[in-house]
Amino acid sequence: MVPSSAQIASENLMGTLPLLILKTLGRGPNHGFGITLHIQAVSEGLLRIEEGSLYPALHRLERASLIAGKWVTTENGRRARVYTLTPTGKKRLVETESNWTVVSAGVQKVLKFA
Amino acid sequence: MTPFWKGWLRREEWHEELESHIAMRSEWNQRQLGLTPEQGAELARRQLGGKLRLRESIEDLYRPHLLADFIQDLRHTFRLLRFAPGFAFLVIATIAAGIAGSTTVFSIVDPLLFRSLPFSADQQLVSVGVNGPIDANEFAMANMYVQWRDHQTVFSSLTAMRTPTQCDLESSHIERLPCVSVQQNFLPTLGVAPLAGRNFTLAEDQPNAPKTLLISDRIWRNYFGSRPDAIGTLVKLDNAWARIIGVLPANFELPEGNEVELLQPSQLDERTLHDPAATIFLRAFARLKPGISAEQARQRMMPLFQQSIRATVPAEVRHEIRPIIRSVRDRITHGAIAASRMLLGAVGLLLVMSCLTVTNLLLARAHNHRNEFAMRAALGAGRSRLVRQCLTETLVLSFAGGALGFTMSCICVRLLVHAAPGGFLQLDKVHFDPRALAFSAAGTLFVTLLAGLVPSVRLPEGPLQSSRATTAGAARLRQTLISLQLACSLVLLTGALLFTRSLSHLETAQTGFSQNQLATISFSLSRSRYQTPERRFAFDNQIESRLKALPGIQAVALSDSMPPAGSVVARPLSNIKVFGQDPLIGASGMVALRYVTPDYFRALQIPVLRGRTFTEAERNVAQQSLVISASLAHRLFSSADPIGGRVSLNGGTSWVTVIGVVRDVKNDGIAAPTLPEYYLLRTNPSAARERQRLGLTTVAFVRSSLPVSTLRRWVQDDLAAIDPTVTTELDLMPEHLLHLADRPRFITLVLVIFATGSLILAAGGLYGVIAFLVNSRARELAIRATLGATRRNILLMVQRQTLLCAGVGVLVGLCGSVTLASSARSLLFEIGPRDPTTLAAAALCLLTISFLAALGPSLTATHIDPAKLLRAE
Repeated sequence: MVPSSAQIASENLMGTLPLLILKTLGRGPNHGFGITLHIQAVSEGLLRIEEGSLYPALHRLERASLIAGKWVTTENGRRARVYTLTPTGKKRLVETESNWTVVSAGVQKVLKFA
Repeated sequence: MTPFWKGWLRREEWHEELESHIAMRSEWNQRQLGLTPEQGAELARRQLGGKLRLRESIEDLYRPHLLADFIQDLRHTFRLLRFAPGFAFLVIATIAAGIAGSTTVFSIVDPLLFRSLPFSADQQLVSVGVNGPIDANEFAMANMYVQWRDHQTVFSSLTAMRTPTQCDLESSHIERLPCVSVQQNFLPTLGVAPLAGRNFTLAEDQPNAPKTLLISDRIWRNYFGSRPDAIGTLVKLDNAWARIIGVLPANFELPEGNEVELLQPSQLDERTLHDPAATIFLRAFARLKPGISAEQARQRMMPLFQQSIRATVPAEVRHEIRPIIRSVRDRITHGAIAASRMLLGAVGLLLVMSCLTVTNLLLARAHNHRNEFAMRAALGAGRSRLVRQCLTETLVLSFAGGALGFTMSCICVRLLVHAAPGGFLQLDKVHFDPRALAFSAAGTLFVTLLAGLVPSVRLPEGPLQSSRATTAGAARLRQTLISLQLACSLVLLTGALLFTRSLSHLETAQTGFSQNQLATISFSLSRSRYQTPERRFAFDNQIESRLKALPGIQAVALSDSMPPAGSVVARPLSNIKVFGQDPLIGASGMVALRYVTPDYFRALQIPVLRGRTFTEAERNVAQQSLVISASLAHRLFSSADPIGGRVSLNGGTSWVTVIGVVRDVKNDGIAAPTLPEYYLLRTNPSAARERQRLGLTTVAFVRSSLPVSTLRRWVQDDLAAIDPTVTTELDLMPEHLLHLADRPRFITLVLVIFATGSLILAAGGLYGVIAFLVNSRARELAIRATLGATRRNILLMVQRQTLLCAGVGVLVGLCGSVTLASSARSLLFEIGPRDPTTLAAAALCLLTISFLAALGPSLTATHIDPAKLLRAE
């Protein structure tokens, strides 16, 4: 059974929201709305970010110096705050990603066994 | 971590960021879902969720956590303290007591030891002189001073003043004021500039120059309304005209520490100054050259000192003379320094005690709360968070204690100024000192905070387990602390006991005369009205006959001074010669002398041991007879009969006959050893062969059953008829003697209060520790009881712990007492500072109190019910 996107869209996607943000920004700088769209599109609609929790998460990451925000003017003339991965952020992304892979593999196995 | 103000700036930004998000989302909504712009924006807002909630969660992110946590901790603390009012009260009261006690004592001691003196660069100012038996402080005879002045190389300037006296300043009425004659360079040496007018010139300091005068600020204000035209005014001083040339600064005092209202030039004749026979008594002060210390100056002055001593002092008494150079500050604080140190030491101990007590209380609390802390740590509270919570709790307690301590010290300082004997420790100069408060508060709070951190620091040892190791560790620490407390307490107790015993010795000291029903009246005559001995003699006769005429009078006598105080002048014992004997070689020390009327011995009820005393008939003939005290008789005649012995009092120029020997009377204060003494008759000056050195003070001794009010009325009415300008002081001898012990009584009172406080703290602390031990060993004790230990066994077991604590405390305390004791030696009377009886009594007292304090918890230990205990677990 595949969980509905509404169910997954809990506060921070079971703690994976920071990882997803970092991963998204790993592809290149983006603003909050862009991140939302990207995650939703790439996960084929399975993961939908609660927009209300995206911004606190962004700010938290910025405070931890994993990402850096900067005001830019987009191609259609709108001011937006665009976030870039910092070197620390890149390192953290690699770590968290490998951790997650291990954990999710483990979780998968346990779930399948049952 | 981002500083919180940056977060505050960011709040404006995130608002804009959200708006930008909404705009993009709304555009997207329109494009993808085909909505109108309004619908798109509306949906976008809804998708973002409650803006308020979002704002909160982001603001939360940037809120300064410290403050929020602090407020939370504060609430938590108040809640906790409400549940433990006893604990809170104890901690606050202990902190307050420590702070109040030390602030009060520091406030007393500070102006005394550390106040700024009214001289510029006072650390360079020294008192210079020789120390001999004729005076308690160093002095300089005029010829010595001149020699030093002319040949010294260590001072930038050397000056001198004569002994301060009383002068009569005459305006609408005569006021008797402290005055002193000084050398011309006196004020410049002290670095004092007149408030108005100028200093004396050298010409004005010459003999027979027109009299000039500097007045105090007070006189300038009261007599002249601080008008500038007061300078240059002529005033009548001691019946002679003197011109006011300047005003002294308001806070001016002499470098001896006494106040002065009138300053005159000494007008000493240089020729007489050089004469070793001119016995002009001076106090010399000097300003050290830069870079020279008082001790270096003393070393380099030594040859000069020796030379002048050889020129002035007879060889027999030279060994009693010691040159001294010490700072003016030492000179001023000299009299009170021992008492000040004593008080400082005592209050230091009290401060340590209160710190120990607070530490102990906080440790006990920490132990009781260790489970709560372990729980909080387990639930995710970080170390720093727990430390902050602990700090908050101790801060609240400290702050409350500090506030209470502040209030108490304000009150204490006031009370003390009222309670303390006049003039003692310069208490009139005492005021509440904020620096003292800051000092003691800082000390106490530091310790409190340190102790308060313990629970959070000891945390990692055992989360959520009542680890036996922690309990044992806490118990050991607390036992050590309580032993230290008991030790401090013992030192204070020993001090209090020593001073109490010393005081009781002092109060019951034998003066050598009967004090009951004895009143004394001191008459102080004005110099200008009683310049000749004849006038003084006439005055004496008048008051003597008037007093004798009063009904109910048993005896009336006059003297120039009042025992147990010393005589007006004491003379070196070496001045006395016995006819037919060698001079008293190596006779050291002084002899007291008093000029008395024949009834003196009857009025004071001083027993006559041999021979007789003076007769009325002798008063009108030349001085021929002498009454000596028993100790002087022994010094002069050993075991031979002194009656009829011929004695010279001035080294062999004239001779008198010993007619009687009387019992020794205290004559150098109650505490000091009795000096040998002789009595001369107050004779009619017209008949006297030699000048009697009668001062301007006459003391009448009245033995009667009259109430003091009757005497007072007589003094008011009758004396007004004789001479209204004479000032008098009426006193009952028993009360006078009581007042003499005021200073030791004050120190004793302070010490007793401190010792009592420390005993209460120590007893309370011990109670707490033993109760804690019993509590933490409850299981073990229960098992022992089950296995057959009797109540006696258990009681003994617990009391053994008490004895261990108290024993260690007493041992340490005894060592401390013995070490500190010598500092109190000069303050004690007829009791050694290491008096074994006192030490034993103090130790026994402390042990008894410890035993009693521990009795409650020990008895609890014997009543532990194993069944109940096990069920509870």
